[in-house]
Amino acid sequence: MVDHDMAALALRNQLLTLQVCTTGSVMLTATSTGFTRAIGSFLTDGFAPGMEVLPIGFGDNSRGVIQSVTAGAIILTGTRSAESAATASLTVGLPELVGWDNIALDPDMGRPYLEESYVPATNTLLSMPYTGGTVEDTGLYVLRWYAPSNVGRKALSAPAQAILALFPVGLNLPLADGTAVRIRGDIGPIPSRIQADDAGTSVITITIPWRVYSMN
Amino acid sequence: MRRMSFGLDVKRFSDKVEGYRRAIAERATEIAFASIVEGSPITGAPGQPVDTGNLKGSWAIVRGPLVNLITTPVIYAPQIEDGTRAGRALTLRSQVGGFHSLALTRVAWPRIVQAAAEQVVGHG
Repeated sequence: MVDHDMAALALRNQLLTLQVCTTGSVMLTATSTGFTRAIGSFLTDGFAPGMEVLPIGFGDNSRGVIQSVTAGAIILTGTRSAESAATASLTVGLPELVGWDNIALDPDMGRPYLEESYVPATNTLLSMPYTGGTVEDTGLYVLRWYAPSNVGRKALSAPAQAILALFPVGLNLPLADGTAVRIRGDIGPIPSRIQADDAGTSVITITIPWRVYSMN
Repeated sequence: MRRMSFGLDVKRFSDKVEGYRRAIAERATEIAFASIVEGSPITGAPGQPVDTGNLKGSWAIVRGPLVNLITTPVIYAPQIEDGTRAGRALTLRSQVGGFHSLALTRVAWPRIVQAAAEQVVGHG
């Protein structure tokens, strides 16, 4: 029978590799309001308002929420320390605030955050005999990505697209007991519509159907 | 005579298959509806949670010539489906039902069709 803890952890570990967009290692300057660059484009790299960006390579590598983006500049909400140009990177990945299964999250409505739900569904004996026959377990891995409202579609659609790319139909995630979590191809992962809430946030739900075959 | 008989046989077979198709589609719709509203062992869906009963009682099947719709006009239905409201995860307080019934029904569609076929045609 399936080990649900193992399966949930495999899905979570895959999610932990998420990268929505990045500059890669380039020359960047930190200003008191964000970042600038002389070569390349933040827009082309995929940055958009409402995203939470993680800098690496500066003295101050604290995360910030993007307020506006042009090709050469990112303006963050709030202020930060200005620093001279350096070889650094900006990346949007998993938000810092994540509500894992059964871990309470007190969200900051001004920042993106993520909630996960592991949802077992059905358990079916596919082949005889009862002992040693093949069992199919199915379920859902449901992710809810929140972003501030009124910042545009990409704050939610881009992370959703990146998550769907991370969990393509047919993906096989091996488990330590020799089984594997398989992302279903008959009914594949889909995003929901973007849904605005009355608390100043909007949310997109990504539903990832999975199955595991094991021996009874 | 043999040509006419064969043609009639094909027509009878075609009519029979069409009859099964319609019956299976209708039965699958009913199974999906029950899954969403009441929950189902076929899909693993928990059904709708109940507080006032407004949401659970609002679901309806709208039948069309080619497509049947399972719908609700209740504005907070998506929040109950996803288990989120006002930017936070909902706490399930109902003693019946739960979240994600539509998603679970959707991904179990092959099982629903198989169950409907078995009920209409038999196990063969």
